[in-house]
Amino acid sequence: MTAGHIEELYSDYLDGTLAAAESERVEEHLRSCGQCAAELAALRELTADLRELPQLPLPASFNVGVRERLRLTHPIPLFSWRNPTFSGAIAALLLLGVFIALQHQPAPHMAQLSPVAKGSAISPQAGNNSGINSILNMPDMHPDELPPIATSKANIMRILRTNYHYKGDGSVISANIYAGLPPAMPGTDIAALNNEPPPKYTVATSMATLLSDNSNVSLSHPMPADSNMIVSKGSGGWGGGPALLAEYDGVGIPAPTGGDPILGTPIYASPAGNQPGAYGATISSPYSAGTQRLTNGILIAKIQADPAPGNNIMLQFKGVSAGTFDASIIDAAGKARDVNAQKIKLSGAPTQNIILNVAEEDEASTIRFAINSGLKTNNFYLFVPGKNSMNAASTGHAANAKEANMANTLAQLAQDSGMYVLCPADFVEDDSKDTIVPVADINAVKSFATQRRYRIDKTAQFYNVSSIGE
Amino acid sequence: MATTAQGLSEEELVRRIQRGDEAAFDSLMELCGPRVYNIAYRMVGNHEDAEDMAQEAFVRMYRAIPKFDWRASFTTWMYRIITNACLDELNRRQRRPALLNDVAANENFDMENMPHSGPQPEEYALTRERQHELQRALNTLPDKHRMLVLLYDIQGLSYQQISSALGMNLGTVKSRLNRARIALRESISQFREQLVENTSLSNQEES
Repeated sequence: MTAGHIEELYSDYLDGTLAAAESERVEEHLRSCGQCAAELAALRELTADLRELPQLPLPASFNVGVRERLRLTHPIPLFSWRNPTFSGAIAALLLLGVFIALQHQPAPHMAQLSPVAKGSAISPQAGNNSGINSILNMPDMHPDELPPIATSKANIMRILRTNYHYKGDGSVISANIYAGLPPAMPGTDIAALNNEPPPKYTVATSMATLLSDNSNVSLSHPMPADSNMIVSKGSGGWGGGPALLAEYDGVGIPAPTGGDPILGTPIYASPAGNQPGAYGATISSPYSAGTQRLTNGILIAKIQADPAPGNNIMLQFKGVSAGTFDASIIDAAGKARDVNAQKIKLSGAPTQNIILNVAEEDEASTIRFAINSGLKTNNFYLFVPGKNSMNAASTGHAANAKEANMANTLAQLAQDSGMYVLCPADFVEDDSKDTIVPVADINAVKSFATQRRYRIDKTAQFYNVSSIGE
Repeated sequence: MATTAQGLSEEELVRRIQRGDEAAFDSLMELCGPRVYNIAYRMVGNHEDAEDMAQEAFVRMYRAIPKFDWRASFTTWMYRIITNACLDELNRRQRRPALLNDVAANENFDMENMPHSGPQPEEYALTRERQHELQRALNTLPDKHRMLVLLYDIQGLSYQQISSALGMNLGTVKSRLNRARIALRESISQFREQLVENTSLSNQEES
């Protein structure tokens, strides 16, 4: 103890948190080391003086100021097309935004699901616009009314993509639903799930390892093939920042060795090895570093349970033209607010970093990024919860066979994936020979959405089904 | 445990807020406001930004209290919110807290500003110069290190409370606090050396 100095023990000694024996050794050292003794004396004086710093009174206008801020910053309803904040990119993007509570849904009984028929044609239906009008006239739901988003670890998100193909006259002629990503559950046979082989998405060992630790995969997105947006991730976080995109339960999660060929190496943002309560955030992204492309879509990220101070989320965009997108945080109670008071602007630079501020009270919140990268067409999104969605979707809606079928299909997919299902549909011309799934009657989608109290964006355009077949 | 004039504790106020008692939030601001404000002040070193930050902290508390589940102590939770509000704000502004000149320009450590409930002016052991020196040294610390010193040495929290509030493990709290104090001490030494240099320089010029 007499050799060298005892710098690392200064605070412990001053604060009296050393064991008696250790404290004695420090004192012994101090008797022979003038430098440490002087340093400690200076520190003792410093800490004593810090305690003596005067406490300042609260400014007189303080409470009034807080009240004023609360009034001005009332949470902004999400998806409200009447709200100018959500015009523009998000309006072009969102036709349907749906949240259903998982845990809070009553589950009277497990309704029988009709099997998802695959490969059959869509029934023709003469279309009219009454359905859409009635949906558009739905009152806006205040975020307070939105049911809470399930935050259970079991709710690893996955995304299923629905394509509706239509002819030039606007008639939907076929549709397919396929699992987009990620391979959320080890052993999931995605091809069998949706009858469309998405060979890229297979369950990888590393992902299985991750999931076996009950970690929460919390970043999902649709991954269409024709995209021009890249979200990349670097060391230390998604995009390189101290991002916190995953719920973290304080349990250290071993890093998969070698990385996942599809998912990349999960990022461990904790500088100290996922210490409980520290920066521990396991970030698993379905993106390989810098290579996966994303076109229109919604990114959903869940903020870890206990964000450490000063954490932000950094997104890095490469090769994206100038534009804007919206980001919102939906807290555990289903309330939404803008992440950054304004639209996030992309300058068009080759690499663009966007910082999203995440606050402590956002813990367990979900972030939605609505990204518009030059959409040619409309899209809609359905969020359907897994598990209980069978009940939610098929109870009480059997009157409309098509709707029930739609609900059942979604529910089945949700059930099979065990999680949310996100179905963004591009109304794009597509000559691919995707398997037809008989759920593409858009009116069924609308009815389904209406009955589930989903909101539909004002700019939604639905196509009437007036013919079928090639 | 501090209480309001009606003898209500923080916890009782929070329970009332959770039951929808809006007035209780005003009482909470009265009760906890000075602590919040003083932390913010020591973080930024000027009143204007401190008020801004402290108000933001209460806005966050207001929003978060309905979700507060009592698993942590309210005090710890409150400190966490304050800390995050301050650090987020500092991050957002991407600027260092006011340095010496700003502190001097915004000097409000006047005796008439001393809280009535606190010790009387003559009891203050610290001269204004020493207060300046400490604040200036605090301002040289990285934000998180400064926060540690504020919470431990100024607010009197325990290592354990800080650990919970900042989401750092105990060892990290201790080692960072140790480093922060040493850095503070070094800053003060540097100030004094500079002062001596400047004084001798000006003496040389005069002679």
